[in-house]
Amino acid sequence: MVTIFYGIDGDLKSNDSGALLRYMGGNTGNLLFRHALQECVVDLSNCDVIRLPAGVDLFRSLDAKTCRRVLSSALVIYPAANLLRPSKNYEVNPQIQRETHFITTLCQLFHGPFLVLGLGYQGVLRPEYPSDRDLHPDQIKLLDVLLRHTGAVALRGSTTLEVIRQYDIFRHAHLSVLGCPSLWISGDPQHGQSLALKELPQKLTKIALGLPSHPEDYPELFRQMVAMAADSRVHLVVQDESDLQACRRANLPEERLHLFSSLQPWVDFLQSCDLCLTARVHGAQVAVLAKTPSLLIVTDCRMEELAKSMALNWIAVDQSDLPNLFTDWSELARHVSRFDGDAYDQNRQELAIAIIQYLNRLDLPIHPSIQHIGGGLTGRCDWSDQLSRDAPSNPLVDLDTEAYLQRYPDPFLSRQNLLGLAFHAVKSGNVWASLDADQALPQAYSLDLAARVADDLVVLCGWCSDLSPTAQLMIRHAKGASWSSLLGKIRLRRPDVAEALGCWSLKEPDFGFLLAYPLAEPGHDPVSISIFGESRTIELQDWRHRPSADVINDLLDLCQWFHTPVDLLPGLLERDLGRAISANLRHAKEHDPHQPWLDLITWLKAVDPSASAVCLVCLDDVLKARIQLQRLSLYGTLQGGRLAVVVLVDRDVACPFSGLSLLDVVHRSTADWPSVYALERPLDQSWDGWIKDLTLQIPSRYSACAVLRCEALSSASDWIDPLLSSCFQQHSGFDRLIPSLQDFSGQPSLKPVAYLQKIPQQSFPPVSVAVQTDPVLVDSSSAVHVSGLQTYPANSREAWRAQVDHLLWR
Amino acid sequence: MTYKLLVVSHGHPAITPGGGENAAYALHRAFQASSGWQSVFLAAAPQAFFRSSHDVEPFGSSGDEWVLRKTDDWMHFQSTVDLKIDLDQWAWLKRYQPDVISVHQIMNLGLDILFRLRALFPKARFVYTLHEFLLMCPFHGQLKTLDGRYCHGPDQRSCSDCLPALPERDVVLREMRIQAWLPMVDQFVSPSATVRDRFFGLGDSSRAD
Repeated sequence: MVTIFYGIDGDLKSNDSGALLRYMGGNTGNLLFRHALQECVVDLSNCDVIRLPAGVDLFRSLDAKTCRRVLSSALVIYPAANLLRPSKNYEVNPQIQRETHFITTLCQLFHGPFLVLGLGYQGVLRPEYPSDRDLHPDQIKLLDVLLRHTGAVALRGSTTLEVIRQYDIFRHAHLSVLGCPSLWISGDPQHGQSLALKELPQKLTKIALGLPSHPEDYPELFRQMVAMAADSRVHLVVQDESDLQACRRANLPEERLHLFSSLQPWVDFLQSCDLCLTARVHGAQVAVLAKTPSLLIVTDCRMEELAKSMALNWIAVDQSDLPNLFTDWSELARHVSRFDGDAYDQNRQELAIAIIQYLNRLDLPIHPSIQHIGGGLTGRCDWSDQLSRDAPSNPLVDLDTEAYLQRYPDPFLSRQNLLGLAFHAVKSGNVWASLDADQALPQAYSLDLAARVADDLVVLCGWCSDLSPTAQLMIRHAKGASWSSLLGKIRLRRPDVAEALGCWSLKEPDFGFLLAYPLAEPGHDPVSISIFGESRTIELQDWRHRPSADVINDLLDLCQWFHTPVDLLPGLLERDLGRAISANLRHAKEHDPHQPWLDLITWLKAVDPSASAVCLVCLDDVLKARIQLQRLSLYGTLQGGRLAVVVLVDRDVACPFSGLSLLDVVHRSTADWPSVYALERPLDQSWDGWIKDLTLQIPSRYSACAVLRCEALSSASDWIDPLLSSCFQQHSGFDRLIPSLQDFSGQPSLKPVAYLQKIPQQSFPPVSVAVQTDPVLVDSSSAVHVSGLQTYPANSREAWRAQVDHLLWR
Repeated sequence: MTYKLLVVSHGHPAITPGGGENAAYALHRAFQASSGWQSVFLAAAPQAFFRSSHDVEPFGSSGDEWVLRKTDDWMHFQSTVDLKIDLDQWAWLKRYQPDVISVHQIMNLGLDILFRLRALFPKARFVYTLHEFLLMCPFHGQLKTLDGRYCHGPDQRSCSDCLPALPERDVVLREMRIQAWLPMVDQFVSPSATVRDRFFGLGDSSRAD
């Protein structure tokens, strides 16, 4: 498969000169160049050829099949003639900039050679300073990319070569001067000699004239040529829009204006002319093809370079005898006759040899006519067998467009075809490669962390590309013993690993693992792990003395709470994560010199004897704490010193306005209370567990314990006082007295969020009775709030912490 | 004998020149000019007006004007300041020992600082000036519905109508907070009989002037 950009396909028949010019890229001279490139240089007789004409919307109009064929091309031919410019000219020429950037990226889409033949530099004819012939960094980059991709670049002439060679990075680059591809349209090795032998008639009756492009740059030349065109024997060959407009402004008759949409009619026309005087290179080339004597007026360095490299008959625009030629046709005839046919043929043969060497270097088959012109020198390959024609497979052909658009949602991209997305992927550097679902993943793994969380438990965390239920690792100890473990049914989601492995479209990239590995004996540390037969040393961190809250947070981070579905958390807590947390808390408790229980019981024993009851207040919210404590502060039982208040607060709760922790808010709010003790709930105990333990350990001097759970909002009036009074007299057979409870809408509630418990408790479970009091409010949202599942986003560390708390301790 | 007045305002007119701020400040200046009275002005102010990390600091050069770090809690009026009164930043207040505390608005101040002042100065008389219905109406304190009609509330249903995104729980908690504050006020000052009558539909009107 070969793709030719800006291909010429057949003879366009249209009366619309604008449409014709657009098809030919704005200049009919491109006909010659493009025709030569696609038909006369590389032997494509054994190839399927895709011609992408000028003006086609490459990234939208081609269907998927064509896109895949294009991307699979063994060779891409791209005509880029006058692309290189002085940097100042480049900066003010957006079209050239676009083309430069486009080719720089385009060539990287293909695995086969990207052939740019006849690349040339467009500059002034007589540069004032050497710096007038420089290159813009974008174009230096283009050349560099072309050279890296294909290995060699063909230039049209020595001027272009000189300009490029002045840059150090190209000093030793494979740059070959091969002239313009239009040289190869004629397959006759003696074409030049045939032309030289043609004699001009005594009286010239038909002259072909070619106006300069950009006539505003050469006003005098243009004026002289238009004046010459007034003669009815002169016919203008129109090549672009500026020619058309100039001719119409000069009121030249339409019958003497000629625009050609294909090569043969152009050749036929020029064969009917006596001679051709043109300021267009390709206009002169067609005249040579037609074996019509011609003279090229050179106006810039590009034309000079081409004229020299192709041994054309030429005269510089600033040459003193040029103006005579427009009026003195006999002088014109003499100049035209100076064409050196031998030099032309000799030059063509040398260039043919050069191009044969160039194409051999790229392992491309050479057109037979070039081989003939080159004196029978043959090419190395001919692509007659499939094997030689096949390009290395291009993975871009398999780009999953749907997955790419999903990954990079962009309304502009959504309208692009495979070629457009491939171009975007290469230009942006976006990851696009993905393995198929049934394609084997590469064998890879990593141990991200190994930490000792207790004397006898080590946590190992990492990832492994083996997603099977039987995936396992081997752990080795210093004494050489080993232990194998399955990585577990519950794996952690690691999209970062999926991207690194190139399977980013995998829906459940559960590569991560977290293992709690029990040590057979303390100190019997693991030294290495092994998966896929590849061993990695373990660097063991010691987390035993870190605060347990931090350890739990870090363990949850290792579980990738942001990515791992939260419904896997219960399973993780039943297994390794739960074991790790429990072991760490147990270790902390065993080694923590500070025993909050002892301090609290000691304090309760030391409270003023007037306190006959304990009031246990549980708080998990700053706002409710403020309301609760403010109400309690007005209770007669509290002000009278009859209550020893114990305030138990949840950890990691703070006021969003002052930033104070809940514990600090409690301290501030109870500063004037006669007997109050505030502490944070230990990590390893649920609210229920704590309340139960406290009521069992309250010193016997207290006769009752009033409990207000987190969900309770105490009544404005003192409900504890009447219950304390009636506790033993009226309700002696009961262990627990429950005040009136109602929810926020005023409906009775049965949730036992507040009660007065007799100390010591006689019956298990306690026998309860409801007593009419000022209602205590039940905040039903509190339980949900504490569980964190409704309050926090599901994939947040707070939600995971709250669920850890809820599942482990409630 | 010189009586000491503490005027507590939701803002300083030099920072936010609103009507309530100006009224409070005018009261302060009037009492300063009165014989037998000393006055200190304590106003809530935004973070930008604090030179230090303290919650309360002097404002201006007069020595009798202080600013207090404002709160953004317009629903439940939780104060931002650290209420630990032993801190050095409150030493000036403990020395001053006001006899009368005139409070203008609870917004920006928060209720907790007022509860703290009440606990600190149990013998001081608290006077609260009603500037609008903020104590009653969580919807901008105007007692007007979404469509501009006067509200007969507050009640849970009508508050939910104006603030549908507000959970019922938050409305109840707000009311609990305000109901806890009202008994602490010794005297209300109302700009009009209308405000007084609307307001004291909530409770005891005997303290309203």
